[in-house]
Parts: sequence; structure tokens; C-alpha cells
Amino acid sequence: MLNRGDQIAHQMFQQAQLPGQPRQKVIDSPHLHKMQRMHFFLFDVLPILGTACAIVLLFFHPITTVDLTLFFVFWMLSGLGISIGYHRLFTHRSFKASAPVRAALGIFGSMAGQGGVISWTAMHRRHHELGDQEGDLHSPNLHGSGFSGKIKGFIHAHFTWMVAHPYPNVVHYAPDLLKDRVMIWVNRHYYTWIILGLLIPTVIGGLVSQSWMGALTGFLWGGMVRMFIVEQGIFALNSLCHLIGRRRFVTDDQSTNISWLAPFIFGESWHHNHHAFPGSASFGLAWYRIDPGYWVIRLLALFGQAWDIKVPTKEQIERREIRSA
Amino acid sequence: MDHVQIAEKVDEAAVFAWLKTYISNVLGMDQASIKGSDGLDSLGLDSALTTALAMDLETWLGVEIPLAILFEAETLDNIATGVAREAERQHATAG
Ligand SMILES: [Zn+2]
Ligand SMILES: [Zn+2]
Repeated sequence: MLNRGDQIAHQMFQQAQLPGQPRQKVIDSPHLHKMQRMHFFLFDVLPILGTACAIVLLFFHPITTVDLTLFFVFWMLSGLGISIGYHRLFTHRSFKASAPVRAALGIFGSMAGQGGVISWTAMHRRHHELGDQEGDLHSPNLHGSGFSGKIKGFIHAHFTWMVAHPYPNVVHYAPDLLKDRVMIWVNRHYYTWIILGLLIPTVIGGLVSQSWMGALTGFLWGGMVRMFIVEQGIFALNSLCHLIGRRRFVTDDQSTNISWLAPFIFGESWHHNHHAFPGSASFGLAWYRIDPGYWVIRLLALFGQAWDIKVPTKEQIERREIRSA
Repeated sequence: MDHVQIAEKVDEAAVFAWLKTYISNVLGMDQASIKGSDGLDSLGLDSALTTALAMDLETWLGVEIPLAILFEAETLDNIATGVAREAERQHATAG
């Protein structure tokens, strides 16, 4: 029942297997946990504080069109970088793209501050391998039963799992990316892309308004607030989209679809569809479901920048549906 | 990576040979171009890859290697020395 994307991923896992004894697939180490805590504070906690500052500042200084534009453009770029690049292309290989497009998607995705592309890919492939079972890095369903178990699970899956977590073996989980020179280069300069993602809106805000205040609000709206919004969207996939919402297919995990979230996270919240068909570039699986990530892939294809776009057929979709007795 | 076998007796040279094979496989580099004076960083291994290397090295050796040995060493030679010493120490204490 594996689709093509899964077969490729499966083969890669097999090839990476050591003959002697089972390979170590994750590691917990104080050294890594220290780096993770630092990353968590800088790119997950600071954007919350920055967003709070932006809101307080509104009382003294009304938001400008420039701020809103910077927010919108950088929200789109970094969000699509995660959804189309990190997720649909690099992790799941659901289409192919030229080297410049791969580099651009990797760079925009890096600006979201959710980890380098190779780490993100390895962790997300592990999530699909073990969805909601022991070893899943961010399942909300492994924290006891009842209401309090769900609340604990939600907090873990949405936010606190990132403070310190087992780190995946990237040679095992992402050997394909390690063979791609372009992606090695993008990954190596992860922190540069984050800094550029904060610096560019700051500079534009300052230049357009010819003021330090403009630079500050450019930084807050084009940097901090958009980072916060993109993050909360992606965190909701890990928490809400494994807790509440609708299910339609038979899958081993507890993933769900949440339709109302789709316009705000580029179609990612058709997360249950995605767990059922991880190799599909479309998460909506139908034209009438809002899936901006997929629409942009189609747009790239129109210009010859994306090809071999994988989508399951109607029959393939139907035969996976839950049959009511 | 089917070249990897479980280690029986490891000295510095054996660890160095393993590092060379591993790195050349992962990064698609010519083995002969990897020198003992190279550092992980200059070869292109970031913390993600260094961690992966540590995990596979532990599997090969059958002992736990503190990541600090890899992160703090300047060169592959230093790593080989540190890892071989650590493996020997752990084998000795294990019996
Ligand atoms: Zn996925
Ligand atoms: Zn999921």
C-alpha cells in the first residue's frame, strides 16, 4: 500500500541500514540539549516577546502600510518555504524542482527559524515513521488519558518538546539531501538566512519611512510577528492536527484535518490527508479545498520550475477511505 | 553503508580508516583527499552530520562516545586518538 514517495523513503532507510546491529536512529546528549535550549529561546521565545512589543507599540504608533506589507511578504516567503520547500519537496519528494528553486525554497524556509533544512527533514520523516507512537518527537497523544492528559499532550506537541529533544541521525533519515550540493550549502548557512530574514525587513522599513521608528516596526512586523505567526501555524499541525478535527482515511496515527486553519497555513492543515498520502504534493486532494502551497507548486510548474508533481488518483484516494459498516 | 562491520579491536588507525570511509561516503568525496589534519568543519560536517557520525561510530564500536570528543577536537587525528582511548577505557572497565 506504499505510494511512490514512501517507497523511495523506505528504500533509503534500507540502504542506510548497517549490517551488524540495529542502527542508532536518535541520540540524547547534554551537548545537543544545550544547543536546542539556545535555539528555542532565540527563535521560539523571542518572537513571542517581539510580538507582544509590536502590539504594545500599536497604542503609541499606528501600524503603517509598509509594516503590513513587510509582514505579508515575509510571512508568505518563509511560510511557503516551509510548506512547499521543507515539507512537500525536501521531506516528502512530492515533486521535482530546479536548483535555483530548491535553493530559494530552502533559504526562505530557513528564515522561519524552525531549524536547518536537513534537521527539519530528518525529524519530520521520523514523525511520519512513528506517528503518535513511542519515539514520535511531538505527539500530543502519549501523555496519559483524560482531559489533563490531552492538555499536557497539547502543550508538549505545540511548544515544549522543542526545549530539549532526541536528535535524529541525519545520515539515516536524510541521505538524499546530503547528496545534494545545493542543499548542503543552504543548510550550512542556516543562521545567515535567519539573520537576513530579520535584517531585510528592518532595512526596508527604515529606508522607506526614513526613520529609526520605521526600522524598528519593520523588524517587529516583518521579522518577529511573521515568525511568530508562521510558527504557531506549524506548531498547530503537531498539536491540534493530531488532537481535534476530522478523519477520513485509515491511518496508523491519529492525524486530523482542520479545514478552517487551511488558509492561514498554506493548506498544511489537511494534515490527515497528508498522513494518508505523504507522497502527494496536494494536501487538499481536491480543487475546492484551500491548499495555497499546492497552488503555488502548480504555478511554478506553469513556468517550468517544478515537474513530476505527484498526486494520487481518485481511485487511489477512494480505496483508502474509512468504510462505515 | 555496507562497508561497516562491527569492530573487534580498535586502535587509532582503525578509527581513522573508519572516519575516512564514512565521511567520503556521506559527502561523496574522494577518500584519498581526506587527511588526518582535516577538521570536521573544514570537511563540511556541521553539528547535524557530526551527531550522525557519532551515532554510527557508537554502533560500530559498541561503546558510547561523548559528543564533546567530536565537537571539541581540531582534527581527524585528534578524534581518532580520543575515540580509540575512550573505547579502550570503556572495554577495560567493562571487563
Ligand atoms: Zn509530512
Ligand atoms: Zn503529523
